[in-house]
Amino acid sequence: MITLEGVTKQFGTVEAVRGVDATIREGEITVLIGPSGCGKSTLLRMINRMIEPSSGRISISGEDVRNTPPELLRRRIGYVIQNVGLFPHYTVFENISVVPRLLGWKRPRIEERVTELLDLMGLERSFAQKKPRELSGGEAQRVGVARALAANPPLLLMDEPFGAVDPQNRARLQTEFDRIQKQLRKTVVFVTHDVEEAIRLADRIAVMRDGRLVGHSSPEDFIRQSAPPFISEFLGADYSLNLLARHRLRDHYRPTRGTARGTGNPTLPETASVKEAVALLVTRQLRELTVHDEAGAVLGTFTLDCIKNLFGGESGGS
Amino acid sequence: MGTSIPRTDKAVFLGALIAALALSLSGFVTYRPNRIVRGQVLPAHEVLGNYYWVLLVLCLAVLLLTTIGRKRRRDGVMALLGGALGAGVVFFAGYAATELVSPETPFARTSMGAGVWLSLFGAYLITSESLRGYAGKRLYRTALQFPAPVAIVIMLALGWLNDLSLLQEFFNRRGTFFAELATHANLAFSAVALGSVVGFALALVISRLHFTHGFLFFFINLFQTIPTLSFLGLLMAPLIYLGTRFHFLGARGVTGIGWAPAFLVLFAYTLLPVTGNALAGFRMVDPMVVEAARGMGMTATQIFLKIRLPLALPVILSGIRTALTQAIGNTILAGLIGAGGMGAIIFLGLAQAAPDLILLGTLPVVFMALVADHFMKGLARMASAATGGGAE
Repeated sequence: MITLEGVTKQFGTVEAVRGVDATIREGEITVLIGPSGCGKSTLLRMINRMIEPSSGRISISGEDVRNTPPELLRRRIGYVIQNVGLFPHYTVFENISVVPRLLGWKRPRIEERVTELLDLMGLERSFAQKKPRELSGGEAQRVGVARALAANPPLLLMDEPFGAVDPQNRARLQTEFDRIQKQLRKTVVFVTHDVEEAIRLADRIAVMRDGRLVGHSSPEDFIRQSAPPFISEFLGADYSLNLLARHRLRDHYRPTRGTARGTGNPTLPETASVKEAVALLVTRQLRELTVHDEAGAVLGTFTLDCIKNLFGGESGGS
Repeated sequence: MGTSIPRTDKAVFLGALIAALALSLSGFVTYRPNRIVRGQVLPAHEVLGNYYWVLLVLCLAVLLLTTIGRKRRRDGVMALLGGALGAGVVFFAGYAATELVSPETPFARTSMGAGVWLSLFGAYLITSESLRGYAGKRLYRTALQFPAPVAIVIMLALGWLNDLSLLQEFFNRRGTFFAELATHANLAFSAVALGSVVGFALALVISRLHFTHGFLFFFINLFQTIPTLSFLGLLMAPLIYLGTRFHFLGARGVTGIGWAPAFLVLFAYTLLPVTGNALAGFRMVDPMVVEAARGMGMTATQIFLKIRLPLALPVILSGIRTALTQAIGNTILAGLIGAGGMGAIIFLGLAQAAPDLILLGTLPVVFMALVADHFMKGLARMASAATGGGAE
């Protein structure tokens, strides 16, 4: 758990971060979002003391970060940045093993860990001997994440990690990161200015504006409790629609009783997102569609009624 | 691609053309009955007879090969033909000298003419340019450069070229030649060694304390803009003062002339390339890479030694390379102020209007600069490969 108490940062006469109080929960992805210049990056970088706060207190698991020398603190915190910052003169293996080596791990342990991470990131083991310039943007970014995870830190700081990748690859990286996070359950602080990315990954979204934290809740709560004008404007009019991408059809359909029968309606697998289902209803001018499982057997029907509770308290469903 | 001719083929073609024209139209050797009188220029076909055609056929063979397009082994064959041409031209120059000398004219001199030099240049172009596009193993590529130089060294060792005026000048002052060569190398290399250390240190100071940039570069640039000769002159007075004022300096030969001003000038000239490149090298390191290193928990020292220095190294080395080739050439001026070096031989040749003596002083300097340049290029390439950068 990370606790921020009255954290403020002044650069000369400019206040980049103004009295932020927040609690970042363990094992969750907290996305810091806001327009550029809102102080989200500065706030992130104060957690691993890349920037020292002008006032206020940051503690990790109850311990003030100022009690640990910055270098030692950073070796215990994973850090991923936008342009990856892989060391061009190191191989992928050497890049990933930077922090373990700083921590004095023995060679066999490092080798084992690097292999494990390459597998986890879905990279071929032969990548270990490649140089960064031989990697594509997406591959480099995966190595960047592997490097941050190398010493198995409980906390991961990510500063627009997928910002420099093309949209298609970004979506893939996000999906993969989501999968890895479900496995690892790290405490992640993730900075982005991309609302869709936030919706896709966040357990909690923290919205910043002019150095202040103006909203901090689960993505759905911004809709359930009507958010202040700045937040709804920043999140966009299509925010609720985008939010539907977080939900799978398997949780939102009316099961068919008895044997399945063909209705002539278009069908979608239960793994499809609710957003896709709604899009299909709208484009085909339909009231309902059929949900099937992986084997193709019909499970039930989806109508807009199935999601009427999604933003209003109890989540809807079967 | 299609029908377009590769750039290297054009260069090889040009080399062969230059060699063929030079052999046919320029004087191959110049013959003087003694060292003072005006020489008689003799073209290749006159002095070599049928052997002239051997050299010309080599040129024509290369010309022909450039027109057949890229074939397997063609580049290697062209490089070897270039080597054969170079070695052949030198051999026949020596041969011509031997033919022209006779017991009745013991003071006769035969020196290599424009035809020899131009066709050697052509041969060099053929070999180096055809290897530029060479697709085979790196080892072969290196090996293919050597036949001509090795052949020339063997001819020198066997005494086949001894009748050339250049060699006669060499035998006349064999003792001083090697001493001056050693002095030359000593001056150039020690000045660059010290200059590299100081220049690198200055770059560190400037990159740490930005306000010193303008101040330090004012002097570094100033040194570079003072003409070498004026610089030597300007140093005279202060060095005489220092040498007389401080006995321990005077005892080590610090005075207005001799090694001290030469060394200082050469040293001052190394600062701009070394400092400038080192600064550029450090500046070229991606700030995001340094940011990442900091974020990983590296200390400032670790960041410098493991990240910044290795990444800047190729550029730093290429600065030292520039400084070194420049210093080897500039050291010639040391001959003017009694510091020795090949300049001493060159200026003697100028004073005596003896072109071959000038050549005897110049060729080793050119050779030394080429070797140093190649060596430093190799180092920079190795450093660059290790740092994963594309550029040299």
